[in-house]
Amino acid sequence: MKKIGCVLLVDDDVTTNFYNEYEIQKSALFDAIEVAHNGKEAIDYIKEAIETGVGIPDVILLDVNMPVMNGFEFLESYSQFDLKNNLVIVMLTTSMHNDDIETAGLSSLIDAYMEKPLNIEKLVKLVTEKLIHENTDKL
Amino acid sequence: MNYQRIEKVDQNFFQSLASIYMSSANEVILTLEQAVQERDMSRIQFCAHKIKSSSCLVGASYVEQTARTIELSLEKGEGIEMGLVHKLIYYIREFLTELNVYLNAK
Repeated sequence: MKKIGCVLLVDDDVTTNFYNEYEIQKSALFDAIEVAHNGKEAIDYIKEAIETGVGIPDVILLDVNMPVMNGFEFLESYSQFDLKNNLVIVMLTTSMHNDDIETAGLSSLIDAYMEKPLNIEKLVKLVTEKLIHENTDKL
Repeated sequence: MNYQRIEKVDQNFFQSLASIYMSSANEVILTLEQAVQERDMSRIQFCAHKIKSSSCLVGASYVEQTARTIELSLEKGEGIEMGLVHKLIYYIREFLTELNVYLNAK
């Protein structure tokens, strides 16, 4: 299977990050896995990646409830970057807030909303359709 | 709890996952105990949310269910009995003890 460059995991929970990293590594779909523990760390990471041209994420798995900067605040800040057409954002959360689910559904930046724990088959299917098939179609 | 089903995937992976969970769950216990004393509902809700999502990864179903109940009640603004938070702390401790015994036996 063709590989995708980089996935950025944005979650404050270390157990979840470890589990997701393991599942993603097994899928062998990505060349690199980066981790940010809140929205601010993720924004800082993306800024640096754009400046250096290295490690710009192709996929972001985004939690909602995080300290410092939550998932929705991240999306607001993220909209300053001009990356949205080339990137898949998946909101991955156990959040039970109906408002969160509604807001996620309304945000044009979010490609999918998935419940934890990560279902790697679903993610691979989504990413393959969005990034590999769409790019192939454009050729 | 069904360690065997989870562990079947990869024993080393499960042991590492369990160690990370144990360290994180111990921090949650400390924060919850402080939050109970201060009756800080927002921290209790945050802790319940945090432990809920990681507990489903290690098979801590009682912890997950109790945390879910607390989070849902607080989310609805219904308030909770502090006894339920003590119950959550008890379930976390009980699970950590079981997990420790299980890992040491490996």
